Amino acid sequence: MHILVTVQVCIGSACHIGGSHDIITGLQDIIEEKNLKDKVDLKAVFCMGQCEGAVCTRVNGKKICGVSPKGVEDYFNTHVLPEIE
Amino acid sequence: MSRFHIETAYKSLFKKGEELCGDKVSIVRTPNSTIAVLADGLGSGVKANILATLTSTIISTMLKEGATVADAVATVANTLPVCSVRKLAYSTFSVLEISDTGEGYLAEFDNPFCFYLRDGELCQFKCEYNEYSGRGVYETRFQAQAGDILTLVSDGVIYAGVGESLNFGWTWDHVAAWLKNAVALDMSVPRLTAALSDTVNDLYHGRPGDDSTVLVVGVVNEKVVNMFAGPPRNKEDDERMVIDYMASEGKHTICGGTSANIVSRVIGKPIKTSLKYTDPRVPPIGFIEGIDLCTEGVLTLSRTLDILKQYKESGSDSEFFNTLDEENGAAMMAKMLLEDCTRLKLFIGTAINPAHQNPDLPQDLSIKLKQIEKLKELLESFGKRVETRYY
Repeated sequence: MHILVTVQVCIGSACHIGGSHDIITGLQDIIEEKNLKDKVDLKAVFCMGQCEGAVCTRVNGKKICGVSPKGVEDYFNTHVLPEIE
Repeated sequence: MSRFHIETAYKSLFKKGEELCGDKVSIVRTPNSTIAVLADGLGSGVKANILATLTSTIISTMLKEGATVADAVATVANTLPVCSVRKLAYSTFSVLEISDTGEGYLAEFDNPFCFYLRDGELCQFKCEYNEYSGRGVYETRFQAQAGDILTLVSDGVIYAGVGESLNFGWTWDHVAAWLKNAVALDMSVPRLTAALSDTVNDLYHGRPGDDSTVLVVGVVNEKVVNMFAGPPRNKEDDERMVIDYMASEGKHTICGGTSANIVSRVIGKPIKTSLKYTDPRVPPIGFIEGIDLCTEGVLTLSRTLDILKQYKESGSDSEFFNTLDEENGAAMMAKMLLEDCTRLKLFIGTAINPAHQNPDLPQDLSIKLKQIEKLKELLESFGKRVETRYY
């Protein structure tokens, strides 16, 4: 088993207000539930410089912005899961 | 000649049922000395409060302007309103003045004698008794050293618990012994103040029988904290700003994600972040080798300001220190500034983040420079020196 995907969630000011705390806990829950702990490395990152697109994330280096706490599950299925499969 | 910083903290417990305190502390800082006055007005409530306020204000203001204690005492004697019941105009006082080179002067009139602790031991200096306008004043001149802790109290402290938890009250000797033990724990001046005041309150079972005030004055060596706040207006200045910042001696703290990225890039050390939220209002902190504290910007700063304002408004109590000891960026920053800093050097970047100008975002985000201004004001009100450099 090794890490297949690194997900970075911005915790800068604008993204924090946009809900990065809820996104992080949402992702932690999904990773726990699907038992993907050794495959997904979830990290926080300071300001990515795209505050207009809050909340910003990076999946294996690819920037994905405009993530909302409500859409965490969609986000995971669309952007994170394909990297594992 | 080494320069000292004179730290002060105080806390008053009001006599049960009173809305005003009959003790009053006044702290005045001149360009090269700190004057602290503790006055205890006759009686309690409004009258005592007026007497103590007049006394502490007159003395501290006159000394600041260079008057002698004899002049100040004469002025107090001729100014205080006479109590219609007791036909007396009376307030005790202790005056402590320490220069930043450590020259000290203590004048005491009818208050419990100052507790002077040096290297963990109580010490006493030769004092002189003089009468000014009919008031017997004990005057002491001394040379202070780094680490000296001087504690002044109103008599409510040494009588704490009298007739209830203790037959004769806490007594001067017992307070001295308590202080000796407490000083050995190496607490900061605000923490020591809170601990002593809380102990007094406990001895009174939370219902003080008299106004009880604790004033702690600590002589410390300068402790500098450098704060990097915000990216410079022009990107070309990144490197210059980081170099100036890193070259300055003392602790280093970074306030802001973009600022952290800039410092990390220029000094070539990566940022490690954590996912640990101890307070969901405050984003997690980051870690950069060589930097003592690295936090997000405006939200953290706004919470830091709240914590410091709380200290300013309600003073030290143990509840406050529970907040201060939390492990989130804002509390950690407040703690560093309050307990581990006598001089703050602010390296302020003036770049404007376009995303922060969005009117839909909370006002918090558009006001970083105002927050920094507020932080400066607050720290100065605690007697700390603040220097600013803009980029």
